[in-house]
Amino acid sequence: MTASTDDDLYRQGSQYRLWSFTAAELSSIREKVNAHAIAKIKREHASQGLDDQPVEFLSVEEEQDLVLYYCGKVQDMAGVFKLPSHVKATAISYLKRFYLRYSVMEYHPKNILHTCLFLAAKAENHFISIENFTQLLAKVTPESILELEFTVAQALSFTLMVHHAFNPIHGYFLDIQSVFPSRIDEIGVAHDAARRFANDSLFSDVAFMFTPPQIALAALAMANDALIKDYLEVKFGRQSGLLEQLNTVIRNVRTYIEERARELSKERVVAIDKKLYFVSNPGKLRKRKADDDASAVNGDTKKVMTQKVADDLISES
Amino acid sequence: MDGVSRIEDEVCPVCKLDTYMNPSMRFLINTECYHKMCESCVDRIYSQGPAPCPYPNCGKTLRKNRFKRQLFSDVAVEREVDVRKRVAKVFNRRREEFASLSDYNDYLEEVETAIFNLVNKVDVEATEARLEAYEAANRQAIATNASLQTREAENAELLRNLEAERRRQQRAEALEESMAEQELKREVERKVIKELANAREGEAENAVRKAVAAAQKTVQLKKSSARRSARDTSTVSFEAAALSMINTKLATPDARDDLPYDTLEEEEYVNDLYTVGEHYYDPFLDNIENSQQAKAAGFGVRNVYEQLLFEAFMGLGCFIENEKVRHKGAVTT
Repeated sequence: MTASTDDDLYRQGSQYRLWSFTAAELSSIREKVNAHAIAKIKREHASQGLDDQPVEFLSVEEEQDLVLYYCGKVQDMAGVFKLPSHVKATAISYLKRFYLRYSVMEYHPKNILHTCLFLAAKAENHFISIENFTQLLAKVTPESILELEFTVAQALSFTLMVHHAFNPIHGYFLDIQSVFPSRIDEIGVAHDAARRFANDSLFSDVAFMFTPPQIALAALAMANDALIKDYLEVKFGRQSGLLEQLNTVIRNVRTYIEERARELSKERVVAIDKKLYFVSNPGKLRKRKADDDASAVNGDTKKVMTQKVADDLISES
Repeated sequence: MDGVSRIEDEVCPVCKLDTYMNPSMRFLINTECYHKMCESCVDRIYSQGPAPCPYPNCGKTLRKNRFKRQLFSDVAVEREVDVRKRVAKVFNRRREEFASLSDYNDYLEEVETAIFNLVNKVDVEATEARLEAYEAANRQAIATNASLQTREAENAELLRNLEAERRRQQRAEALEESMAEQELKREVERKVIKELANAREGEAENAVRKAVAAAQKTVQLKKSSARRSARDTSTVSFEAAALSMINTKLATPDARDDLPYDTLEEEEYVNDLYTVGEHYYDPFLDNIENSQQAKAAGFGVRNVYEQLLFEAFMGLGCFIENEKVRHKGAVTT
């Protein structure tokens, strides 16, 4: 037995063992999930005799965009319940992890997100009773949340502990103080800004590809590049290999976070959701086709249909 | 229901005598077939040597010296405990003998399978054969482990006795102390009365105050000296005993002595990337720092510092992109 480092400790945790991937692995998992779901739904359609319909399945990117949209919804709902940021972050992690096991074509995120938030509140020791939880949400019953709870927990392999970047940011806030005692104001401002960037990072895939301290350093660097540069120089100046690796990682994390900073357009989400609607109800496609033919005479049926799906999406979520 | 089973419990199924007729009746069982009978039946049937069990359809040959008291009211439990004891005598390997936990678990599973087979009468012959073969093959190791077990038990017993002895001493001391205190109190009272009797008029109050102060001083002096001497004697005897025990333990050769000494084995890991300071500027933690409740519970702001700094550096050096490449394809959906 040799003494193991704190890094080894992290390597033993579920976040590293089960939920850390390289970029290539991550995209291959998503492709597999997507392909698997398409094959499964095709079989189902065939068994219902609906395989003659030209169903358009969702692509990996479309799935991801939809999940992202619902991550935003989790954020909004966490605001409604006044949940602290780590609960919100855990709920978003659950949602993102869940969709590495299942496709949105199998479980619609509008159902999963409530269960994720409920489960996260429990796991993070911020319990909200199911009655209070459902009271504030329209069209949600205790049963609809609880019946998915096991499915979600199972998809998460029952690993409910999630490490976020918030605590490490706070830790660096303390440690930078001991390195540069005179720059305290600067550090305080950087800390507050870094928490916001850490929040943005929840919408990217960095939590799958980097460890919380690395994300924390990147968020701090986004807030105050010069400060972190000086800090790392003092801290790791002697270990040039590690310093270089850390700088590369920080650069990569920044790119990922900034990439995801753009807003999703509502139209794109509505379009994806419409597609998803026909994937789960191929029978409706037949009807639409008939309507389309009729719309040669009466041009606005299709438009009404699109409007209806959009309304559904907005009212349900 | 209760009444019926009570009567059944007290009637010998062989001679139908009950505890009403013979209040001193005791029931015995034999490990061959676990059929219950009273002591006098055992005497009557088996005094002449081995004889078949008197239960109908049993017919197992029993011997008198194999009869014993029933410890558990459920015969099935009694039997399982016996089997367990027997198997554990043979399969007595220890965790330290295995390189990995999974090896040890495999071994434990094997043992449990053997026990299950014997208890539930599955493959009894094969299992017995395995047991015998194992015993024959590992006679030396079994004996070593058995002696190790007895030594451990002895040590634990010794420690228990020492602890009990220490507690008894402490109790005696406490009692003595309280008696001495009472005696002192009485003495103070006597002194006060004496002072009062001797004091002139008008100075009574002063005299009493002086007497009480003097008496308190002596009380405190006596108390502290008594406590010191008591502590010295008790700790010395306990420490001496513990030391002698450790010495005897060191003198007896350990089974693992032949392993090379690993200097890192007991060394605690300290992350040298950071040190936890005494105080930081942190408006978030001010309320913990100033909270009486937190302090009373033994919690301090330093605990928070430690946790936060630990989390800040836990996994800093895990570069997933480099490390996970070798596991490629291991993760499936």
